[in-house]
Amino acid sequence: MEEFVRKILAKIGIDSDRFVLKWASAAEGPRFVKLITDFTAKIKSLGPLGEPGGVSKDELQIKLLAARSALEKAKLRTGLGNLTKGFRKEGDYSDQQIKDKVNEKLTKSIGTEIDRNETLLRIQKQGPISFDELTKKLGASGTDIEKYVAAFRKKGLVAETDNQLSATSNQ
Amino acid sequence: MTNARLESVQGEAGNFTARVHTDPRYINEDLCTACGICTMYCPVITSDIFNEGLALTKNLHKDYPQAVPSSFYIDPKECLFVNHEMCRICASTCQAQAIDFNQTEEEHDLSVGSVILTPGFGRIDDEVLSRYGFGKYPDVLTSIEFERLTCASGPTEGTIVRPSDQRHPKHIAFLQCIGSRDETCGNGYCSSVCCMYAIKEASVAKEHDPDLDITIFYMDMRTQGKEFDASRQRAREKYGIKFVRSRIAGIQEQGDQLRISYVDGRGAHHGESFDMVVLSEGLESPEGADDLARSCGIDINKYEFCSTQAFTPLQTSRQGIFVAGAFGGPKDIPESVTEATGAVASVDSLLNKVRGSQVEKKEYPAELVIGDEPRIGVFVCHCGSNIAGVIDVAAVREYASTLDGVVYADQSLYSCAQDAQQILKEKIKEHNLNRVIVSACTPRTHEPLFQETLRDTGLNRALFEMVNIRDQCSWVHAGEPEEATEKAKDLVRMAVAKAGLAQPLPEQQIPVIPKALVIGGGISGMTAALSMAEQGFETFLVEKSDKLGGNLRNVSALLSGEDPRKIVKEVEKKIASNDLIRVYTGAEVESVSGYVGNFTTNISSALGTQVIEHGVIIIATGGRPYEPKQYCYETSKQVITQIELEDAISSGALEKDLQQVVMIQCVGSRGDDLSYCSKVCCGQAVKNALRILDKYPNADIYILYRDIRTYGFMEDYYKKAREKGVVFVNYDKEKAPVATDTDGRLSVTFFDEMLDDDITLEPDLLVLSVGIVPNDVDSLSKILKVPVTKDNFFLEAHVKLRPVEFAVDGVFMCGLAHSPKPVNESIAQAKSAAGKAALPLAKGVVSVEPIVSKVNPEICIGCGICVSLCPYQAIQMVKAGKKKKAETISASCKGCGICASHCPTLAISMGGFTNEQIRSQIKAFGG
Amino acid sequence: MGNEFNPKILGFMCNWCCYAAADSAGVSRYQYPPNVRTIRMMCTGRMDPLFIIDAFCVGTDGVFVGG
Repeated sequence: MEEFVRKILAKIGIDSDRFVLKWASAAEGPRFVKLITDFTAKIKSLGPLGEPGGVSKDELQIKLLAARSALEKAKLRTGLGNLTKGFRKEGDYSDQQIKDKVNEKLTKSIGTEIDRNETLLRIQKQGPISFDELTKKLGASGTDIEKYVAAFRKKGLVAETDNQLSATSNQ
Repeated sequence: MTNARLESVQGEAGNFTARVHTDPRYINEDLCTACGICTMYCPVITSDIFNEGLALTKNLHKDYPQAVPSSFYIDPKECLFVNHEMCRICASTCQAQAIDFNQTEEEHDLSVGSVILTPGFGRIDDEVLSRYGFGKYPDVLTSIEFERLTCASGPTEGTIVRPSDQRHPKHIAFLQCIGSRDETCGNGYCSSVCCMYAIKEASVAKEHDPDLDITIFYMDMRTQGKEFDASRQRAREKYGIKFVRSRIAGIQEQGDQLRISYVDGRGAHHGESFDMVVLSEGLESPEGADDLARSCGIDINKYEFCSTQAFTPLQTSRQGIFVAGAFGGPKDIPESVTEATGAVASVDSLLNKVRGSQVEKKEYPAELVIGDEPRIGVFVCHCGSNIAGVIDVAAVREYASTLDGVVYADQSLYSCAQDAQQILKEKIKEHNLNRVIVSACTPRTHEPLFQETLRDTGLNRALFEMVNIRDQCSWVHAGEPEEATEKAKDLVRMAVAKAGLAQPLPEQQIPVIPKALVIGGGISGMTAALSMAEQGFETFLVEKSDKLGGNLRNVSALLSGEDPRKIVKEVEKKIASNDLIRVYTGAEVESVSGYVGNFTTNISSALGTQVIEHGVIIIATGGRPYEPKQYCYETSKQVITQIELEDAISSGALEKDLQQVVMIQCVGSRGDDLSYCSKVCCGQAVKNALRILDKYPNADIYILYRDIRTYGFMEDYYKKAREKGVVFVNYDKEKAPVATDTDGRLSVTFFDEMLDDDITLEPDLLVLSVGIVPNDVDSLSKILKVPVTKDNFFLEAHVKLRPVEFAVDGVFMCGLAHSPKPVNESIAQAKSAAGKAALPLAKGVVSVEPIVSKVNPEICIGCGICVSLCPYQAIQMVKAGKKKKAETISASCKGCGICASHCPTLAISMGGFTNEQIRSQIKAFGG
Repeated sequence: MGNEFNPKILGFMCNWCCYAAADSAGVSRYQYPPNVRTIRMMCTGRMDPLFIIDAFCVGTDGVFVGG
């Protein structure tokens, strides 16, 4: 889960240090205090989410929403589920193993799924929008986006008029 | 009852009067809210005994945050009021009025049917420790002091520093057997736990500071427990901890270091300097053991531990009085926990006829049907000044009243007080509240109390939500009242969002079939089955072979003299005459379905397949001797195993003029073939050596060993064997003995460290102390979906806290199937498994916490990911028409939520922690 | 005061581990920055990646998951 989330954050341009997963047992009050104190300091040093240097707040919001929609759908969730299942079966939970497996099995679909959802979201929120404009904003490969758009059109989610893409009314 | 001691036990089993003396605590634990204000004002500073005097504490204090009861206490020894009638500041600071100096000593006469003695162990005398410089050199610590130093919540918050100069030590020595295996201090026995805890402490220290250089000086490294040898190996290989077999000659201060002089295995003298020395102190019999023995009328042994017998390890010499833990002999946590439940099973066997006869069942009013519209009431607690001293409670209440869905907001001095509960009930009725939020301390301690109050008013307990603004807010942000108030408001807002979505959750109770299945009919399975039946439950005992008894049929005597075959016969007779036990011999478990309380099992035997229904399962599939190929076992008739030797001794088949016998330890064990220590073989070798000497007093016996592991009171027999002339020669795994069979003439060659030379003997007999191999576990572990270790022993749910249970509810284990162990430990463990297994059967129902998961079949796509991820086997696939859908087995579900978080279609929801609820909390957090 | 960045941090804590550790820190009166708001769970197994993205969607500056 941890590595999976890091990959998603990296994909949408959020410093993955903004998320940590730490362990403290019930008896480890002092450890908890240290963890929280350190994490707070770390976040302070990173500054507010979506500030200068990184993507603008609105851009980040779109990417976050895209990640959210991707995570609400079965594709990525199945991938994560199957991966966890694999770890359980092999009994190997070493950091390296998890990193390798996430990379091998999920990184690509994280990329595709978020891009796919972002494509639709942008058409919905920023449409009508030209294909070129869309590709530029997404920063992904044109051929891939073309595929997503074609699929959306097939499902009747997206329509194209005068080279401008827009969401159909029921969206 | 704390501050209490047992004065006397009159009467007989089933009808005792126990007189208990209590000393005053000066704080009423029922009223104390554990807020801790009093301790801040207590002016008397005293040594912190819990932290071994390494820190200071107030005289009015609590040893550690999790102490039970969760109440403070006043030590009368130094209290100004108790001794001089002055001060009493604490009493005036306590708003709960819990401090009560009128408390006096009291005598209580308790009517009890049985008594379990668990006084634990005592400490090694300072005089003994002082022989190693303790008390003289500040940097000589006991292992318990060192334990406190490495503890994150200890006096130094886990930093290891030298008491003399607060510097970090670089070189640390651990000295083993301090106060153990030492006749000069009266403790001839081995304390059993110190080798392992020294390894643990050293490893923990290395984790804190990888640059540490640690050496453990030992006589024999007794890491005989389950997976213990692996820890030792890790300590050496991963942490670089050095192990030196030696005898300590002395310890001297040298500059700011401590110089240890020691003699190694070859008899050579060495000296080495360290910054800190840790004394691995042994376990002494508990303080006042003789008084306790007298007041209970029980026997104690020469070391003042409770006397027990090998086949009744939990039974004292007096009927109806049982023992568990270190009082019965030094032992570690898993074994103590195991024995505790075993003792309970023994008591239940005695008292099951009156089980539940003094219990009153609480009745609740019928549940109200709540409207869709949330009517939320928020109650903000002052907790005296604990919350109100930092947080602006009125502002939080005011803020709460502005939130959506909140129809009533109030504040109170102590929400948990009796009168506040009454007010809470009235307000619920008056304002027709259907969701209740109490903003106070932690739900971990107080949620049940408020939920109970809700149930008294007819509201489902799932409609309650708690906000922690004390333990996790006012107490930890004392210097930032404004921020703390803001945080409290945020937390209340999040709770209101969550509570608005709360739905009543069913209070499920699943009926239990009050029968048990025991798999395996060796002494463990027999004991477990008999114990279940004696506790009043019908029991099926399934044995693969054609008769009960298992390995013990081949053992003719124990170290302590008893004949196991007799005992097996006795237990067999009891089983045969007990109407509640049905024995299936020549039978195997073919399949098992169901869950705790409701299992269905197919048993196959010559009679065909029989179907039985039962509520619990105890696995006692046991083990068998390792079959050696080493040391010419297969070619020479002079090479036999210890079991074969036992048979020869008892049947008189040994040759008449036996002159020389060599025994080799760890055949198969400890990395020879099996990775683990088989635990019983050292005792077995010593036993058989002594038995041979009984018959042939002039025989020369050599025992070639790696570490002699005669832990506990077995050490006495090891000593006896040495006194009788048995020669013990240590060997290294890399330089193992070699046996040769030349034309029927057997010879054994081994390296003698003392002589620094190889020695060759031509013994009459070479006896191999072979290890223990678990019986085939593959099919059973698959049928029951329970885990095994890499060595094929069943893996318990928690090594220390749940030593005989699986993570899956309703399945238990005991005996060799768990790990190699001698018969007394197997019996204790079998009773323990029976004690645990009897719990759901005695209750008659499995009560399901409302936090369990629930699958929405409309959304479920039947992928089965949840089924394979559930650590408790609490989700199964069921057929719904043509499709398969997941379904929660509520009785087994623990509410962890891994199924919900990994469901591809978000079809699974957790009671009280639904996706919608958590996401609404997150949204509310955003503002 | 005022200008200093005061991050909003959301914590998801396991009831048996980190949440309990946090309680115990309270009992001992250890002090730490007041930025974290906690959501209690019965186990970190409940932790859905979705919740973390949700948290960033509502403007959280950091997410701490404590098992």
